[in-house]
Amino acid sequence: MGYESPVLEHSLQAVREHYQKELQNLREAGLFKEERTIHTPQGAEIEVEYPAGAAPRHLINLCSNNYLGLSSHPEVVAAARRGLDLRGYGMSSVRFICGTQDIHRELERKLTALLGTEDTILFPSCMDANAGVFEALLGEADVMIADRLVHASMVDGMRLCRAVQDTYKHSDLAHLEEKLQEHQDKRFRMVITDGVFSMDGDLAKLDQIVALAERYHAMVFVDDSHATGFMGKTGRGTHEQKGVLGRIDVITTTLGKALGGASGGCVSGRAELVEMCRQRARPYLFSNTVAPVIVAGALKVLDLIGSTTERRDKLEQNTTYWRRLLTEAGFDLKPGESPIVPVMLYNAKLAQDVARDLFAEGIYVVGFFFPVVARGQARIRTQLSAAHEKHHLGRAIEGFVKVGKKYDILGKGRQQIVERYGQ
Amino acid sequence: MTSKRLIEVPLPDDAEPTPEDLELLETTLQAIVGLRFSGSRAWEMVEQALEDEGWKVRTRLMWVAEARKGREYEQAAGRTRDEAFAQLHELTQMDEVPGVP
Repeated sequence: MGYESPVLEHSLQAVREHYQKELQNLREAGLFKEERTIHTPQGAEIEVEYPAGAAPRHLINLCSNNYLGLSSHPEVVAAARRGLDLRGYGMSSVRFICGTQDIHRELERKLTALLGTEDTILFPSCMDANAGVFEALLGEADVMIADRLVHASMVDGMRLCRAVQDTYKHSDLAHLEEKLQEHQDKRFRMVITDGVFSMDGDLAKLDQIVALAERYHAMVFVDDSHATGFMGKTGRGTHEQKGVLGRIDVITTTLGKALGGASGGCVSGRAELVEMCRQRARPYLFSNTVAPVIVAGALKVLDLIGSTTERRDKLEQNTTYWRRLLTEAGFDLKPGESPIVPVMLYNAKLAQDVARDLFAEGIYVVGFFFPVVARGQARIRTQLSAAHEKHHLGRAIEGFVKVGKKYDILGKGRQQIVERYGQ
Repeated sequence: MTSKRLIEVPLPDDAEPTPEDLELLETTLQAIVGLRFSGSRAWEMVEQALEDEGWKVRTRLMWVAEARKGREYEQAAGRTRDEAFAQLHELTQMDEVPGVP
């Protein structure tokens, strides 16, 4: 490499050795993430190359966030292509300088209508939205009270904010009420929660959270990324499902899951709060505007889901059907109503082995274990899509049953599985 | 560099200080030394510069509580030790599991 200074070369060598050792530790702990290469568009069926260099295999995909099956929809692709032709490839600008096109404003208006709020602004991702929103709205005289299982993006955003950080036990409304009472001396209080929690697929008790927030004069913030587009009778999200449409102060969500699966996110809610984000949120001010191609695709997605509930209805039916198949086969599931269906295995190695064997059976799933989920709560998180047909799920359950029998986990609960495989 | 100077305070023979007693004595002396003898007074120049720029500046003694587990590290400050530990607890609860995307 030609470093002239032996001191520099020695330092670099020490740095490289340090990180090589850390990476090796990750491998030995079974925590090294390997990316599998997909050779097709996203869909219910994909072709996956794994390990690297192997011939791509045809698999049923049960682990994407493609909830409405629109990630590769021909009309969405066509609309994105038209967007490229009409509005170009990139804006080379942040929003407030020269990065706002008419289509950005149109998408914001349509998202506002979908979510039932007063205003919306786009961000490059929901991760960016969550990183910027708290710091833009709250200060050291305020408090953020977050559910302890909120997504990492909200934790990161809270850390960037100078307001007091507090938490309540997951979905424990009594504990939340204690915290709201404790913080009545603060200027503003904000309760922070996912709408649908990404690990277990459970829904936040938004009706009760809103009732508490109104009683104790607190704002409510919801990241509804795993719900927008399909939760609730018309797909507006968890707040519609829980009957509190119009009563959430700030909603963030993503365009990277049900709403097309490309990228992009937004902050939506009370007009003043959204405008403050437009004026102050750092990821909004200092990061490139969402590319026109993505905006055009997302506009078509909103058109498709706005005219009919067919897709969210099918997702709901698929979810009910898949749960029934797994339950009848004897798998241990977390209860829930969202299309996130965790198959509980409790033991990390078991989760990895089952995922590997399912891959061999033509089913693409990923095992999750500590530290991604709590220790002793390893699982395979299956996710349904409106793109799944009955034959996909029928084929998938065959594979699951075959592998389940191999590891003798059918009809077994946590205690029996842990007794056999450890925790 | 000047050599370290220490203050030694003999305790009565029959004294049996608890760890809390010793911590109280040490912390009190540290606070007195810190406030009375502030080294080069460089901090006063910074304070003045900030105030000249329009900042409102104040200093106070705080308790700092730290926790470390593997690669994870959290630190919290408070006016009392209870306050520092309460905040430290909340910080460790926030990111216990990062969740799945």
